[in-house]
Amino acid sequence: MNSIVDFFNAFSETINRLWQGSGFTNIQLSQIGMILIAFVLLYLAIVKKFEPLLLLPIAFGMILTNMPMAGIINMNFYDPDFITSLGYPENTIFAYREVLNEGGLLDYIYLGIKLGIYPPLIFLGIGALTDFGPLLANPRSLLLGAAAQIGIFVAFIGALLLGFTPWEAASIGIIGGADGPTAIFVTKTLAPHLLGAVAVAAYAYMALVPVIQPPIMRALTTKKERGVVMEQLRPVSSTEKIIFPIAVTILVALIIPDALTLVGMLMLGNLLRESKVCERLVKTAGNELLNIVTIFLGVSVGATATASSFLTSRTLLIIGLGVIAFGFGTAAGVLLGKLMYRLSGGKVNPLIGSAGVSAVPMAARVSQKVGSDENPSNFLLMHAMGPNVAGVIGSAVAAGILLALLR
Amino acid sequence: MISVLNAGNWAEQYSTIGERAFLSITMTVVGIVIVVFVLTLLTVVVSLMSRLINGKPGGKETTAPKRQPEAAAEKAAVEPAGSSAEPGASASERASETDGALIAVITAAVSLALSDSSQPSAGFKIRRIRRV
Repeated sequence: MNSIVDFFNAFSETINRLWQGSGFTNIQLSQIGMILIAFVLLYLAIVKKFEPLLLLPIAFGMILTNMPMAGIINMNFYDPDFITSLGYPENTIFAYREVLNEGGLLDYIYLGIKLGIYPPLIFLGIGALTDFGPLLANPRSLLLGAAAQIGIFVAFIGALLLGFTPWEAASIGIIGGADGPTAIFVTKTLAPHLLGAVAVAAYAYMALVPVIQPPIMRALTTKKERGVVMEQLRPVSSTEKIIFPIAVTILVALIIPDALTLVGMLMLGNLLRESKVCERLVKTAGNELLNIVTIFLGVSVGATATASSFLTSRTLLIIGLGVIAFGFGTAAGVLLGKLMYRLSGGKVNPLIGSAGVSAVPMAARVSQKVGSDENPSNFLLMHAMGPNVAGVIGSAVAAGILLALLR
Repeated sequence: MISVLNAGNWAEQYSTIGERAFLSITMTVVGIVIVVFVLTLLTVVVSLMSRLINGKPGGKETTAPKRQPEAAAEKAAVEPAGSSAEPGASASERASETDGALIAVITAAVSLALSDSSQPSAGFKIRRIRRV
């Protein structure tokens, strides 16, 4: 009889321990809130198809990191105060002993962000997929790519005045570059605690480019300007395409060394493509490697979005400043496009200026769409691809400048 | 600026809104100037590269619609008139092609008419027609 009672006692104690150690008793309201936000992002990615390749892994990473007791990632291992309290030397970027001994799966994957590995690898893949031909055919596109970076600095001013530190303000401003990997690269260096909010805002706005840009484009242009049919671009020789990435790499490295990591990898990928002798590497960089890194990047960025870092009023400010950055970037590109329209005697359609905010190829498609709405026989896509890829270079250069000034 | 901004004391040095506005505008101007400078330099380099490789300015856009008539004119200049179906030299050719088709139709009709009669089909050839 006693043995039966002992058995039931042991059984109930085991069940009780399991219950006490389960997520049901340890989950907090803020974590439930984060999981609900992740559901919204999953909905946007799966149903609305908003940047699903990144929003879906980010959202799932948010679910993983906000599950209680799982220990799949320990963000305090990357907290400077915690690292110092463990007796590590100053400026140690993560508690490597703890990560190696006690880290979860995402702790190891997150190192790819913490050490700045994933964004340049993404740029390698983007370079392998990018044709700089439209930009080479019309080099003035580069100026449109420069103008659209103004949004970064406008948001930077706004963030600083709203009480963010210069390092946080730079990370928020870079959302205006409409370039996810660049935003992650800058934020992980200058304000790692904002990584989740900045990444979510950057990718959400990139998905919302077709919603954000057209009203600004229409407001700043006349019907006549939108209807301009641009002349066909000249063909670009393979020699030009091969020399371009080498020249850009050397030039950028000499002027802004901090931009070299991103620009150099972008140009390496492009040189692989244009050389036409590395087909296997191009295929790997543009497909398998890019896809693998995208999964790791998305999941680990999502994993940084813990309730304590994400559910704050500052996140709302970041999201608000992000849309301001996008808006000003778009407006600056269109306004420079208008200037080019005047100077060229009406040969340049100002709508291509909005594509300078990067977000390849979505922003170029928006230029095409708004242009064809005005004149159905107008095909601006290839003309807009020039400023669009120039925007990638421009945002990487702007990132390099912010890093050089603030690191 | 880099030496001024360090995480330890920046908030003390830029404590008022005015000081922060000054800091942000200064950094913005520096940033925009450098971005524009780098991309302008790249524009110049690309244009020069294009000029060296192609022997013409890289920024100049040429159009297919323009190039085609130019090419046609060049072709017409080096080829004898009527050697191809170029739009400019084809009015008389088009008329002769129409006449040829008409001759073929008339020949077929005459041939059919003759084959229906009791007479054996005579050898004939329609050489020319005249419009009235």
